[in-house]
Amino acid sequence: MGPDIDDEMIGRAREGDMAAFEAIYRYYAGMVYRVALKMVMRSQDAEEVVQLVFLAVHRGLAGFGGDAALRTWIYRITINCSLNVLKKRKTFREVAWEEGFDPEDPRQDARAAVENEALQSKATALLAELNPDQKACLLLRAQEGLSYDEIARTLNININTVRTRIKRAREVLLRKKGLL
Amino acid sequence: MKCQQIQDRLLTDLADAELSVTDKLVVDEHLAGCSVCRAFLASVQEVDAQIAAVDGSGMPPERVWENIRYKIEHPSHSFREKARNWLDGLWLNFRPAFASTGMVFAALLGVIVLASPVLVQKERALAKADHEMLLQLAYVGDEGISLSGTDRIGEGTFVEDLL
Repeated sequence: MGPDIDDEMIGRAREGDMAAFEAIYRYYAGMVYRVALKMVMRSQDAEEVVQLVFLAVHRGLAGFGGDAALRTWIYRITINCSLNVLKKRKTFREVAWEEGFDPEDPRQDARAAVENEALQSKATALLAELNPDQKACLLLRAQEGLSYDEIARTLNININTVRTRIKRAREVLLRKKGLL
Repeated sequence: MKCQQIQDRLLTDLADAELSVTDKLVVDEHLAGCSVCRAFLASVQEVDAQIAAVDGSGMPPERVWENIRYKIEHPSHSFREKARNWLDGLWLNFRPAFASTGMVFAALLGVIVLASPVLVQKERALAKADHEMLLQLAYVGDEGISLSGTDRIGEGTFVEDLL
């Protein structure tokens, strides 16, 4: 993570300062990638989510009034983009890649193999049991440490809905492990 | 509290540190005397630990940033791309408005669907009444012809007077 993001840096990025926007990217990209990877379960899709998120952040910075924390706003965009990518994946078998991606790059295979191994872990298999809404709530709570109130604001849902989704998610996981 | 209520709390508020101090005391007291709920809590903690163990894979590859920068510095001028960006922006900013408009349309559609059988029934009843009135008029007309030679219906008698 780079330097902390303050209002001045957000202001500079809003005015088109690419260095300031890059600082915002370096600060939040890991978080976005982590959440996206667990939501969409594939590194290629997660990278697409990261791109979509930061392009949306760049477009939306002009209208970002600071009424919500930048972090909360980025979480919200990440979850929405992940859900969109999941929907698209159901519709199209092939994922369209942006310019600059070289599928023939051998480093892709090596990295994909390592990641694939990680993705086959028990925990990932468990997460795959959850529906996207439950997964989003549980990840924001268990992984990102957001409170119920923060999750509710991030996802624009009622706090009781957050509680219910987390409860259902844990019940699904307990059942899957034969503990319920 | 019963075990079921306690376990509901263990699945959410206790696991996520959202329990009030008072409620936490109640739950702790129950846990101290209930081995079933203690085992349940251990299961919840086990699952949570497993989920938390999946740590992030660090930063995305550098080419992701390069692509983002390229797209920002060379915005697409294709109509399709612009339309997509515009629709994305519209969706991101006006999603609640779309949702409420959709609900209003759904409600209107519901009213129309529910009301249509009533309207059809009314229309049929009116058509039936019209038909019966026409039959009566024809009958009176026939009677009028057959009775025209008698005094029962005099000249200048209107059909409406007979109904």
